Amino acid sequence: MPSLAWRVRRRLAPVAEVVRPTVASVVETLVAESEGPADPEILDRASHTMLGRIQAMPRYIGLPMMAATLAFDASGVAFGRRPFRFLPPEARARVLEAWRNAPVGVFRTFVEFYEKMGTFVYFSEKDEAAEATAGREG
Amino acid sequence: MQTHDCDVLVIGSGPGGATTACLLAEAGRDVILLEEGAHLGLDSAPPYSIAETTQKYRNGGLTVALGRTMVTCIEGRCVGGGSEINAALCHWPMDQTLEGWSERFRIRDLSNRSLEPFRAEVERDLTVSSLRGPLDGASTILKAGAEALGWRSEEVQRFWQYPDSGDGPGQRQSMTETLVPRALAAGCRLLPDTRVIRLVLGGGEAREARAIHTPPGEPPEAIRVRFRHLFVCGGPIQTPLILRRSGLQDPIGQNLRMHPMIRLVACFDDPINDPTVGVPVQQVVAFKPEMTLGCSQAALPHLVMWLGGQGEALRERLANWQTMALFYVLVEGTTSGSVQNLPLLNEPLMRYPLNDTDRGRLSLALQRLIRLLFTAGAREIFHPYAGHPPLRRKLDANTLGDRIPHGKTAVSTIHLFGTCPMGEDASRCVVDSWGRMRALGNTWINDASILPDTTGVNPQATLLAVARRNVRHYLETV
Ligand SMILES: Cc1cc2nc3c(=O)[nH]c(=O)nc-3n(C[C@H](O)[C@H](O)[C@H](O)COP(=O)(O)OP(=O)(O)OC[C@H]3O[C@@H](n4cnc5c(N)ncnc54)[C@H](O)[C@@H]3O)c2cc1C
Repeated sequence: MPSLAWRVRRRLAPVAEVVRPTVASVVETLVAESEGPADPEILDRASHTMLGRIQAMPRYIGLPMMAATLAFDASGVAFGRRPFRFLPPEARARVLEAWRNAPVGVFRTFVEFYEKMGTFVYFSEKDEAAEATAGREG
Repeated sequence: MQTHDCDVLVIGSGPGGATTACLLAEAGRDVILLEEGAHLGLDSAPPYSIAETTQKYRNGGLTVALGRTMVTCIEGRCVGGGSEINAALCHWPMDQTLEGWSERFRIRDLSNRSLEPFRAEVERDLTVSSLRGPLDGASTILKAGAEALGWRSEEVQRFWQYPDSGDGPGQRQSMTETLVPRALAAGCRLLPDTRVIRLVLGGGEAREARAIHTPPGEPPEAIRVRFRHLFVCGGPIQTPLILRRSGLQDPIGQNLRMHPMIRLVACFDDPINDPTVGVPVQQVVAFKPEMTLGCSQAALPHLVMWLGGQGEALRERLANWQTMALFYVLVEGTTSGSVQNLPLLNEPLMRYPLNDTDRGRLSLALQRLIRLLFTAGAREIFHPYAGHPPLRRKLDANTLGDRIPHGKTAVSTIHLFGTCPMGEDASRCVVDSWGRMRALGNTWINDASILPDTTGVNPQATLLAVARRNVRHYLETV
């Protein structure tokens, strides 16, 4: 009989799809900060990969991360009367900055996770050359 | 439910499990080797690519130990375990490390002297070699900076095989390149994609293992394996988890030890980062075992990952990313954490309370690294704490403070130990001096969880030698 964890993961697949546009918009905003406008095709692949990452996390971290992503999206309403993913670039940057400097640690951790993982995933998808390279330490 | 029978069951095929399965099969035992991850081999994905982290890393590399500073713990999950994703650096333990363990945990007959024959076998079987060809850019920087400061640095040997003729790049000697094929040739049966959920216990022994076999693209199927003797080699996080899920309790999982690690990115005037060169091998060893300074070849995505949050500053520098390289500090953690099982989810809940001493060591190691990098010509170093401007002079290292602050920098670990320590101190040693469990008469543990404390050096060599020693003892005495 499949484990509970396996069954939970299967049930959560549709929920993950709901989160994906927000994941894509957060990555897009971060890439805009560091490189300029994101390539839509790469962004699409990166958002799938990011979601895969979140789903692969231990569930006691992955589920709160999904919930935080939804909360982050909703917090856009306070800044521009629309969820984050529908905001224009300047308003998105403001939301991100507010979370980055929030007094509450988990908000900062959320942004840090996307800064690291989101940009890594995006640049990896973009940079095919990266696949032929090493980056190891012992 | 499908049932398999064998003489010896080995759970986990990392360096500990592969050594165990290989030596037992070659000694004529009927062995089954169960491995949760897939059987892929080294070439299934480019090193450190997204594909590799998906295929071979547990939780995609995103497992954390909770505490005021969260520590990302990285483990392999594939046939060969951590050896398939590691840098293959081979470092033998210092005398003082093994002496300290022996004294504190009352371990019998463990010293560099007693390990010598096993060390020779490891060096032969995994072709421990020195680098052929020139040092990579980051290693050259580290070496030059250390020389200028009068600190000892050295080229670390690797588990690496070069072609007999010519100067080819050679090949890392992971378990799928070495001991796993040998085990299979000697008749060991390998079941990959098979996760042991729990052991069925009775009469002071383990009777069978209940597992879920999930062939790629197919639904999971429950299986059971019956055995006479059992070796649990799931690694320092998973081994205590399997045992705790089976109903065993403390001290299993109580002594989680690690080498916490922080990375930083430095910029130089000239290109130093050629990711095609391969694994950087230089380490500053002057401060071992407490701290190690090292370097890492890094492709653009990895640099960007460690530069996350630099915004505009990053944009300016991306054009010249080959003038940047990634360096790390790694220290011996001085505190202990724990691994527990989250009921129903069957996942580990790990805690590691990075203490003041650990945070002080990390800060001091970072300050030393920064000093070294500026001495070696760094133009700019990205601050390891979020929200701080880049460092431009040696003096800027003072902004690090005496201890790294909680929650301001990414701490991770790739070296875990100690959750089932070996030794004769029955109050805290889960296994005896040769890996036999106190709680279960027919069960041994033979992975990094029995190393009772940090090694202060890259641990795989120590583990490989200790695992051989324990199998030899088993074959001679059981
Ligand atoms: C990125 C990275 C780089 C490293 N670099 C170096 C280096 O250069 N030099 C060095 O000396 N050390 C290095 N290390 C550390 C070294 O790889 C580990 O110390 C070593 O792999 C530990 O071996 P192990 O057998 O204890 O466990 P692991 O290697 O973790 O193997 C355990 C295996 O058991 C399997 N398993 C776990 N639970 C179950 C279950 N329930 N059912 C079935 N199977 C299970 C796992 O999937 C895994 O394959 C590195 C580690 C990492 C992660």
